[in-house]
Amino acid sequence: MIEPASNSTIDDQRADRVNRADPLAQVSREHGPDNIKAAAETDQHQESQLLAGLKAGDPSAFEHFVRSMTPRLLGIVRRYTRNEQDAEDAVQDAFLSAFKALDSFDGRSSLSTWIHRIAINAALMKRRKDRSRRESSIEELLPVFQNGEHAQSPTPWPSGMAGQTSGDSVTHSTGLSIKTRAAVLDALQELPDEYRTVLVLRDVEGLESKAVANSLGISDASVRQRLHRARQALMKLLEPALVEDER
Amino acid sequence: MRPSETPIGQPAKDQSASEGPASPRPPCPKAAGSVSCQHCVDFLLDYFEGTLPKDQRFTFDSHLAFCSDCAVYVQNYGKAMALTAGLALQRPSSLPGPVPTGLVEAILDASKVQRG
Repeated sequence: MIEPASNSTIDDQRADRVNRADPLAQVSREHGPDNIKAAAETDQHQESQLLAGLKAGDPSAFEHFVRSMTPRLLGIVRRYTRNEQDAEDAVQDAFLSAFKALDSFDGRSSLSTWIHRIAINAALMKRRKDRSRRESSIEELLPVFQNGEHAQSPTPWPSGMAGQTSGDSVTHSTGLSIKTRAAVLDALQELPDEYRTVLVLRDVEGLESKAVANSLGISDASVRQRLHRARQALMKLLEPALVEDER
Repeated sequence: MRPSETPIGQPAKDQSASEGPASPRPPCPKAAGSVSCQHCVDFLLDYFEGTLPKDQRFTFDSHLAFCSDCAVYVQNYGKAMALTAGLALQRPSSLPGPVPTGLVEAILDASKVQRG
C-alpha cells in the first residue's frame, strides 16, 4: 500500500506568506524538533515509495497519485484558465506530461512541486490563443537607461487598481477585477518561458527562492536574477492596460 | 527580516521612502553624489525583500528622495508584484473542491493507454 506523499509545499508556503505566520516554528513549538525530523523522514520515505511505484508502472501507484493530487491541481490551474473545461484538460495534460517524463524526474524537488509546475504550464498553454505566437525577448521588455538615468520617465500606475481598498497594494482579500486579472494573465503569456516559470512559482504560487531553484535545477542567484527581470518585463507588458484604464 | 513578513508589493521597511512625490521633483541628482537610476533599479529585489544592506538602503532611500522617476518606478514595481500575487487568491473557485465525476478515471484511462 502506498501512502500519500507530502504535497503541502506550495500551499503551505503561500499560507505562510499570507498569514505572516511561520508554520515550521509552530510545528516545532507543538511537536519538538525530533518529531519534525521523524515526520520529514516518513514523508521522504513515502515519496520514494510512490516514485518507485510510478517508475515501475505499478497501477496502484498511478491511481493513488492521480486521486490524491487531482483536487489540489484542479484548484491551482483554475487560477490560470478561462473556464472549467480548460482547467480539467490542463490537469489531464499535466499528469500525462508528468508520466511521460517520469524517467527524467531526478527528485531535486518533491513530486508534488514538480507536477504543480507542469500543471501551471499546461494551464497557461490552454490560455494561449495562438500557440505559435512568438514570446517577447526579455531584453526588449527591460527598462532602458541613458547615462545611468531612465531614458523615459515611468508613468505612475493608478492607485485604485483591482478593487483595492487602501494603501498602494492590492490586498489578498480584495483580489483582482476580472479585467485586471485577464491583463495580468495575458502579460504572463508574453514572457519567455524561463522567466514566466520563475515569476509564477515565486510570486503567484508563493514558493521560496530555494524551492524554485531546486525545482528548476538552477542556482538561487539565477532565480533571483530571473525574478527581478521578469517583474520588470511584466511591468512593461502591463503598463498599456493599466495606464489606459486611468485615462 | 524574512520576506514573508512583508506585505506583498510593499518595501520591507521605511515604506515612506517609496511613497510617490507630492509634487514634481527634479530629475536624478547625479551631482549630489547619489547612485544612478540604473543602480537604484538593481537594488529593487533586495529592497522589497528587506535584504538590502544598511548602507545600500541608505543610498537607495537618498536617491528616491530626490528622483521622481525612480520613486514612480519603485511604486509600479510593488504594484506589479501585488497584481501577480493577487492571481492566487482572488477566485473562490480556485480553492480545492469536489473533483468532477469521471475526471480521475479519464486521467487513469489515458495514462494506461500512454503506458501501453
